[in-house]
Amino acid sequence: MADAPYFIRTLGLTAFRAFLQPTTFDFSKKRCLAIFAPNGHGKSSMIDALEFMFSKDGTLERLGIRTSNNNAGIVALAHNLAKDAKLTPAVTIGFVTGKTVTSETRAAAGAKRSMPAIAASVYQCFAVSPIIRGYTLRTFVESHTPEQRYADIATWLQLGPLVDLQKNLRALRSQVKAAAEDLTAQKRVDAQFATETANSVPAWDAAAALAHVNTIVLAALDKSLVLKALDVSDAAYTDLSHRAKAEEHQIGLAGLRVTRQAAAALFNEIINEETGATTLSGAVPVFEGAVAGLSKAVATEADERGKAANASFQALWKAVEPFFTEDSPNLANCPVCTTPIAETTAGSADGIRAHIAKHLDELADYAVAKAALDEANAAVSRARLRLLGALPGLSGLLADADGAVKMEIEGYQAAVESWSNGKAPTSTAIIASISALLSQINAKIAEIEANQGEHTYAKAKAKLDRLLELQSEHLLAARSQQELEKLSNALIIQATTISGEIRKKVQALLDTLQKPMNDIYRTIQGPGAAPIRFELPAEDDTNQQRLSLLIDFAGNRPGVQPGGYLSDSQIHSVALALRLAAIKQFNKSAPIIALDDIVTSYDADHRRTIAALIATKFSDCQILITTHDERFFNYLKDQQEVNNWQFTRVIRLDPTHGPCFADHKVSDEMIKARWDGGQSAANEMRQAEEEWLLKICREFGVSLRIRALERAYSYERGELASALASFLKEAKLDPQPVAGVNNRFLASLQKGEIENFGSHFQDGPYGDGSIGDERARWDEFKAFRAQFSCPKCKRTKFQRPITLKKPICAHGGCEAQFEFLEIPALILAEGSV
Amino acid sequence: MGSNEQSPDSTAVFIEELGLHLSKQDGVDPELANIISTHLLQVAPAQDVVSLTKAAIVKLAAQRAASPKDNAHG
Repeated sequence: MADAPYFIRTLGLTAFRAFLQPTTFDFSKKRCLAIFAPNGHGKSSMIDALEFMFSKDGTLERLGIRTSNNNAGIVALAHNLAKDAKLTPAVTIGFVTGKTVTSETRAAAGAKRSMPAIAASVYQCFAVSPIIRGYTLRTFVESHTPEQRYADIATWLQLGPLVDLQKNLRALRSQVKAAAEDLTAQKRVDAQFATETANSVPAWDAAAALAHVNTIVLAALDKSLVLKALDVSDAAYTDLSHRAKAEEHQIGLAGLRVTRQAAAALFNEIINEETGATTLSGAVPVFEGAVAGLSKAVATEADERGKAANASFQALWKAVEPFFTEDSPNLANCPVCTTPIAETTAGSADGIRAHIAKHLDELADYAVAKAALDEANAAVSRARLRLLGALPGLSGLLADADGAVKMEIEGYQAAVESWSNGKAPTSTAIIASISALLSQINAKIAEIEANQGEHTYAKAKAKLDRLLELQSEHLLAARSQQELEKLSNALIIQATTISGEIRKKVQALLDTLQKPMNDIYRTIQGPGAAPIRFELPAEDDTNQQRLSLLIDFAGNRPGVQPGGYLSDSQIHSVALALRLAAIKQFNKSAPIIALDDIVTSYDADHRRTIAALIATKFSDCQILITTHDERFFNYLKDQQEVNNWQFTRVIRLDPTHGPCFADHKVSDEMIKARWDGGQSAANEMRQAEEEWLLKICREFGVSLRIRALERAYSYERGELASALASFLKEAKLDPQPVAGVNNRFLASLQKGEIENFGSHFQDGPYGDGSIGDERARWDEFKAFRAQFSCPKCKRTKFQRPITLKKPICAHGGCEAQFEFLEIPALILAEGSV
Repeated sequence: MGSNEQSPDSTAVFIEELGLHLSKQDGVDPELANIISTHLLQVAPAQDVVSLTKAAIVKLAAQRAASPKDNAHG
């Protein structure tokens, strides 16, 4: 925070809102400004520029960021002709604090519209928005709910985080309370419990759970095994654990079934109960059958092999077959050995063909026998592999008690492994052993099934452990809920404490506002106005984020809402007083106030009062006012300190330029800057001449025709010059001729000869309107203007009280009567001021 | 809006002091007060501060439920 307060030094608008051409408001000499303009002349654009400069989002509140519904979006920041004029929409602001001057620019188009550092620094000094718009004042008093009003004031007083904090606290209280009442976790445990008990106990119930364990889980194993409580420390649980552990060392029902399956895979004898027929299955009989089949196939193949033709016959036949087909020509000699066909055993070609056909049939029988042999060999191989796989399968499952059977199996396995052909190893012993084993296992299984069915101690313990786990989860969920309920209650207490402290803080800040606000309110509305009170809700009110604005309207109407009892202007006054008091109270590091059309609801007396209020109570502030109320504008002019205030009017809105100001003075520097830029300054010179003529006419009290309101300051230059000349003549005040130009300046103004100076249609006496001609013309004007200075103190501001014929110096310490002094011709010729 | 003479630093300081004030209250649950101070009593709290604070409170309840003997407030 700077030691000296921040004030705005310059505010420049380029292609921003109504301003197209760059326009700069200079507050370096007079820090306060009042702008009068009829509606729709763009006067509020200056206030918009300020709002934009201090906007976090780089927009205006009424525009928003995006174009939607009633928001025009940031696109409306830029003047609609900005692109055509090749101008970048922007606002430039300069601040001064002490002797430090800083100026920065903020773009008003595009995505990068970040707040300049200096604006951010000044923004930090604003506890209350420095901008007051008339149309928002009534809203605050009448339309806002107590909640909105609270939020507004809390925001002004930088209590936004506290408002958020209270909102968050309220939401947190609600959510934690809901969580404390949420039974989801317990319902989940209930659902799992119901599943675990096959719905015999649908929801957690300690007694029902204990009964379920004793009657369903444990009684099936041993009716004497009874838990007194669902607890691992219960004696029955310990007993159950021991039994389950012991059970691990025995072959249970499932193990027996696996062993039975493995034995049956080797040998099983099934007797059809109806027919009494016996069916053998298993790897042993299959192997023995395969071996028997192989033996038979070997014999058959040997028999068929003798009958079959040998390989040389087949080769021979293949060579001669083409010669002995039925449609081949009869041969006289054998094509192989040249023996005459008639001398062979067959005696003829037909005889040879019959002989060969017989041998081919014998060869086919052999092929069938050979294929059967190959299949038998493959079947034996498969059966042997299966057997060798099944034998260790059973052996591995047998306990030590079955050592004899294991030895039997291992012996048979060795015999099978070493078997290569011939008869299968004898299986009588192993089949007897497996049959005996199967009988034993079947008897054991029947016994277990008769006693405990599928129940085992291990299963019972697992079930009990799961129920104990669910019991633990249930208790944890219940405790969590209890703890959450306690925390919820504690939260309510702590939230109440926090809200109470915030309430005290807000009330203290409200109290600091209440008195100055009522002072301002009474200044505007008169000493008889009933004071306004800020009232927070009662301590026990659950909603503390409300603020009531009350008045004691009458003895029988205490603490009533202003909206129902106050007039329009009183309501505005309440809101205006509150905002002004807050700015004065809290924005001391940047006492800037922008007032946009704030007096629409007031009559003439109240407008004068508000103008006086601004003069008396806010003289230490920088005030920027826009108004469409000329009477208020004039009251301001009458009452504000001349040294600090500048007043101007927008006389028209030029779409290709922007608002045109009647009192926006064209300075010598501005004209020189045009020339330095190689541009004509004709327009600026003409405006400067008009401005000066209007000023001197006013100060000298020259009679001017009264203008219509909408053209209040659009006097023509010749008209002003003529009126001035008449006045000077009547007052016997005779200006010196300007050297070299025969005083044609004023005379020409009267005649209107140079009305279009600078125009390229103009012929002489100022040439073709070149910059050189403009300089000559401007020097003449300055020389003429230089004569209008106080003969005593050399100041250039005058006034003419109505009782005097000649004007006097406006400076309070001088008041010398105006006379034209003798000025050396050289000085006049040089146009010195 | 930023700081000024009256309510300046005051909001941040006030919120900080709220936390201290809270923890000094008789019979206050200090762990709950710490959660509120850590999450809620901030000038610029997290966007989902309510969810975060609620989660912290639910977690505290679970911790206390899991070790009831160690819990002085349970």
